Amino acid sequence: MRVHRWCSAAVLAGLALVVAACGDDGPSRTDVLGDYANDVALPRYQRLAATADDLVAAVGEACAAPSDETVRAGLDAVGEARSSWLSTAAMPTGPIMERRSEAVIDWPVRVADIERLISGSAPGDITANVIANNVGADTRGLSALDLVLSTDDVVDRLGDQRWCDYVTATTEVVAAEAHLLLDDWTVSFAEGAPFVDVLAEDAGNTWVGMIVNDSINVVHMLTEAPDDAPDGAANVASDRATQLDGLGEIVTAIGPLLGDELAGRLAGEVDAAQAAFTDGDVDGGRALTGEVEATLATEVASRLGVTIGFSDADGDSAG
Amino acid sequence: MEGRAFRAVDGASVVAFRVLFGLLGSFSAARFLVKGWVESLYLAPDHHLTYAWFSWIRPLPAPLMYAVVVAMVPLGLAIAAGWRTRLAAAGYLAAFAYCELIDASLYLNHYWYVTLALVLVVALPTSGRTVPAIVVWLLRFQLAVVYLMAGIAKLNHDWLVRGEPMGLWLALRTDLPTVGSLLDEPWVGITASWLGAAFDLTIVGWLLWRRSRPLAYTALVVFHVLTWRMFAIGVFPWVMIAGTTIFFDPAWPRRFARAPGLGGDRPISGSGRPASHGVRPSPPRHLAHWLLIAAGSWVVLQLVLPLRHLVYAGDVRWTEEGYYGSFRVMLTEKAGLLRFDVTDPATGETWSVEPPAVLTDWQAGQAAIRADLTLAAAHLVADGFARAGHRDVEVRAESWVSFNGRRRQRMIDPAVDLAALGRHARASEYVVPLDPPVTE
Repeated sequence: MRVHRWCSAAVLAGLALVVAACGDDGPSRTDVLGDYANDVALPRYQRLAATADDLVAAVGEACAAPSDETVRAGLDAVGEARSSWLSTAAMPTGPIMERRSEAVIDWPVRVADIERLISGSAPGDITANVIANNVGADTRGLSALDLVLSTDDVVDRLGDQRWCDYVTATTEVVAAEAHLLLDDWTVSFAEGAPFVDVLAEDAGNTWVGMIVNDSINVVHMLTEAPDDAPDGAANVASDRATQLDGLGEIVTAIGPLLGDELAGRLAGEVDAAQAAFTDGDVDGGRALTGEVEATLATEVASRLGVTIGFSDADGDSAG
Repeated sequence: MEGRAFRAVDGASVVAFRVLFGLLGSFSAARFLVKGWVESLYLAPDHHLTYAWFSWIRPLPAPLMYAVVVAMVPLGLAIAAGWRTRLAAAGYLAAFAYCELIDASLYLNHYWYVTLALVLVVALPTSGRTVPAIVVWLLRFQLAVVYLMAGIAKLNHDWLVRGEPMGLWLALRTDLPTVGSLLDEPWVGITASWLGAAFDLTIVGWLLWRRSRPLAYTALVVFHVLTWRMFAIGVFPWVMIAGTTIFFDPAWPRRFARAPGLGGDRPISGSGRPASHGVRPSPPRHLAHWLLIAAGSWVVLQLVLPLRHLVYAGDVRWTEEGYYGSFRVMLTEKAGLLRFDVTDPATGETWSVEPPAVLTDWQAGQAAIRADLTLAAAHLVADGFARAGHRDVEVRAESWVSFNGRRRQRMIDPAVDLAALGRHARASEYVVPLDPPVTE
């Protein structure tokens, strides 16, 4: 009788193992995060670093030989770098958040501060170190470069060593930050493994939650009304369309975890908002982006367990 | 009836229950202090999402608030030791209930069980060599209500057919070794849901039947340890594992103590007096009659209170009306987005207010998914505007919620001015019905 019971238990245990072995081989969270890290995010950061390097070269040429052509090339390089930054910044989880890179690479500009910096400097005073450490975020970054290189008398200005010092130092700071971000992804993040590996090994679901939460924050900012009159008024609509491009890639990447219906519907909502911004319809784009935010904060968060609903205290308050 | 109810039975299991309950109460209060929850949950928030009937309850100044929670540590120990048991339990109950009533977003079903159990410890004799049989049965009944109501609440389409929200939760643990790859399989969610419902609905019966009791208690321990490992449910599993020892034979601690190496047949009495000292006489007949009526009323109340949602319109899992005190444990997975649109009709000015403007993140998270807390938050927003000179503002909610994996839908009617509604408003006055409706 006892032998019989042990045999039964062994058979049951064997069956359990067989059933376990027959589990669905669909993508796991670690698979999906690994694909996102390697195939989606990392190429964005590589492109950001490359466009920043191109920018350094283009601005260097504009300063060496100021002309309409070299300035135009410099402006194009700023546009490329900024486009790259905006779509990358839609994936801020990890190094960008940790380093607060937005305050270095692209921040709303205060023209008066830039002019005050130039007028108060002597040739050779403005270096990358000064831009990185001694001035505010509103005095540097890609929008600042765009503003300076867009002024009517830019060719004349670049004949002034101080202006060339400024644009050169600013591009160097942007490029250095872009490379530090890339290093975080590929060499070491927070004195540990490269972030690409950190994401790919996220067995505890920590980073899934952060990616969703960061995406919600990014989208939320896109639903807000633009500032009344930002200096250097960049094209708000096209900027937001570019940011949604990055978000769309996140949705595609995590799609296998969401199921076909939700992933497809969310992608459709992102596309609709992006199309509205691309058409210059800021208010329409904001409203449609609100739909994206609602879906992320409710269905996606629920599906991925980002907000389980337990309070900070111990509890069963989910139900 | 009276004879059976007041028949003297061995008081050892009741004493053991009281000792474990007191120790857990003391531990729970100490844990609350160590984790810094007095500060973060009671003192740090600028505002609290109060219960409609207890909106007058506020946190005490910090030193007194700490004193209340600190006091629960020795009070729990006093309950365990059987020293001034009823006084200690009454003190613990007052402190515990006060803390729990400060903020409705902190409501937990097991806190409600602890509250009810404290009432019983205050009201019933829990020391002595013998106790009336009704004491054992009332303590058992109180625990049975938790399991039974939790089981009844699981008898719904979502739980039994869709396997939700269990499926959603299990899918988060695919990182577990061996079984992890199975946990996102739909049939696993459904199977686990059925097993959970069967467990809740039948475990009391298995515990009461002497022959099945050892296996049932083993299963209960495994079940609660598993849920403790998989979900953040704090001390709840230990409360249940300790409490359900009351289903054992009333003399079990004495038998346990007689086990070789455990000290022989020593009487277990909270007072520490000789065993013969604690034999309790039956109450006089007229008193017994009234005690039975009181006990019966308590039983009826415990059965009716958790089911009161049946007389309310809408699904309690969506409206939350009738949720408090219902032991509807871990039945819903909700995620929400909430924003308030505020209008001053006098000036025509409008504002958009995010809940974190008046609430902490954990309060805002609950306000986004529980309609009564949305209403409470709307009133806080209106109060804030009134203080800033905008009296009688209108507050409307932009509220989206996904419930048990469903497509998101509006939870709060965006046309309703929540500031104009009283805190006691019925959910049907401002909650959008679930579409499509789900039936229990």
